[in-house]
Amino acid sequence: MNDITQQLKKIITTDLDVNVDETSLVGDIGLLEGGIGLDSIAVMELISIIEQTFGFEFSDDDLNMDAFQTLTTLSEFVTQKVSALKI
Amino acid sequence: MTFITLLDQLQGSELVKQPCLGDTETQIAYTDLADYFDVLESYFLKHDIKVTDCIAFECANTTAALIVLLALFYRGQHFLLLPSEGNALKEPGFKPCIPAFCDIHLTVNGLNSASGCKPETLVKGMNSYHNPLFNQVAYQRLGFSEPKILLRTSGSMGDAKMVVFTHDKLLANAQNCVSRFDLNEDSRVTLAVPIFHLYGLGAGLIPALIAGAFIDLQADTNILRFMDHQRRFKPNVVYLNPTLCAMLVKMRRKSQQPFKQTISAGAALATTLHQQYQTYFGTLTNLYGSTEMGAAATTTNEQTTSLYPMSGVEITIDDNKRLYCSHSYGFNGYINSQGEAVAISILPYATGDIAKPLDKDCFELIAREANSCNRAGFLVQFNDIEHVLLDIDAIIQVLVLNSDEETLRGKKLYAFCQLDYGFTYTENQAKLIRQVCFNELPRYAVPDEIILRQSLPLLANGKIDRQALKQSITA
Repeated sequence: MNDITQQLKKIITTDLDVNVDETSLVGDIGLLEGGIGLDSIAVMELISIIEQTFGFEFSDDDLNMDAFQTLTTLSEFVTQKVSALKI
Repeated sequence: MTFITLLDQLQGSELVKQPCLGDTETQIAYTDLADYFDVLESYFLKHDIKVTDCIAFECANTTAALIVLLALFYRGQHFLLLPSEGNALKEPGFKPCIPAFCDIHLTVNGLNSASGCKPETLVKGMNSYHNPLFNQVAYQRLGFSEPKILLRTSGSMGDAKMVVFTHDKLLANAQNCVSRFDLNEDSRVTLAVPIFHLYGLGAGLIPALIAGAFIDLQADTNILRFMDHQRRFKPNVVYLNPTLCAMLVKMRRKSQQPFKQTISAGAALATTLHQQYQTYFGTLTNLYGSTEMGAAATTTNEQTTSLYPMSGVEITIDDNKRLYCSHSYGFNGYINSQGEAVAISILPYATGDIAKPLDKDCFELIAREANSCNRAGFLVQFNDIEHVLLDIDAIIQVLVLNSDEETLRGKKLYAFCQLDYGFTYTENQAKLIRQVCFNELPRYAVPDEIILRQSLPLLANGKIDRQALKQSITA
């Protein structure tokens, strides 16, 4: 598991007010309804913590369901954004 | 106007030929409705579903459910509107809770862009089941003389009684909203609230239909899905819950365009937040109403806390500031699952809310119904949470209350728990109790804090001293 995935996992399980433990949060489990069930408020908190932790801002177009489907898709999205910062 | 004349008018409308009703996956034009209604009528005949039967219809914010809902209004059907149970019906052993007066339980699958949106596809996704609990006596108690719609009281997680509305009164109630919200055929309306509740149905969907507006239904609303919809559909009128309004303010992005009108119901936003919302997103109208009264009053652009009654609404506030409401187009009464009338005086309707009168026939809400509060757009009854907590072996006494402290979900919720002999008062114990709440309650009803006490203060009559506990959290 890469470092960004690990960090995201920690953010979701410890920084958000949700009832999810690290063992159940595997890569392909859904983050929203049908998965671990993050609601809008948890998603907003997650966005804010990701922006602070990784130092980039979500654009309007970034705020879509695709990036937040699973831990893996979110990790891929954040990796892409962090890489773009380094260019 | 009746639903028949309204829907006939829309079907014959030459104004809008392009798709104008639907969800993200599929849309249809008003002029297509006639074909769907014909096919649905054949379905009802084939399954021997008579207009005089009372149907329990599971509804969702989908194109398919919307078409069936409109067909039920069109044929003057008696029906109970229920939220969709989704896939739960397919699970072995799952028994939907359908009242004894409903003979038929009707569901419809959503349509997707792959399967297409044709009348035949819609019918293929329909299922009707006979209700094993159906009871002819319960049905006869209803004494239907004119078409009626039944709705569960909103928000409550307990055994809700059902509210009875005639189709005509529901329509008249909705007509009030058309002018108040300035809806017309140029309106592009996003309904991000469920159409199986009176807010989404009576204040949103039906007024938008009367106006001949474009209608975009959004199911399972969350902030990401809403922003997706907004980019695609470009609404100028949006129906949101207060939590989503607050989140839009907090997540505001520079490129977001204001709406012509936002309608929100439930707990009003704090004044500053309301003003911020209006600065960024345009007029925000807060709607005051209930399943019983429908749309009863709204704020205006300038007055963010004063509520102005709708036409036909008479507001009375007694010496104890209790708010009563009489509505010419309000509900007919309550019934229980056996079809028995629940004896409660309905005129004037005791809202349970506390208010103060203001000038020019308007009023301001001071507090919502006792022992409940509105969170994330839902009415949370504290005794529903207390029942869940009392089912936990460790807990012998419990009291839930809210503070005035605002969270994004609404007022902060506290659960005070007294544990049984032998259980330890630790932080971990409180955490375990809260985990049960996460599993048993909707997220908006999960207490923000569990406070364990060796004993709870009592009044002389033996009841838990709510005020003393409330003071302990404000101190």
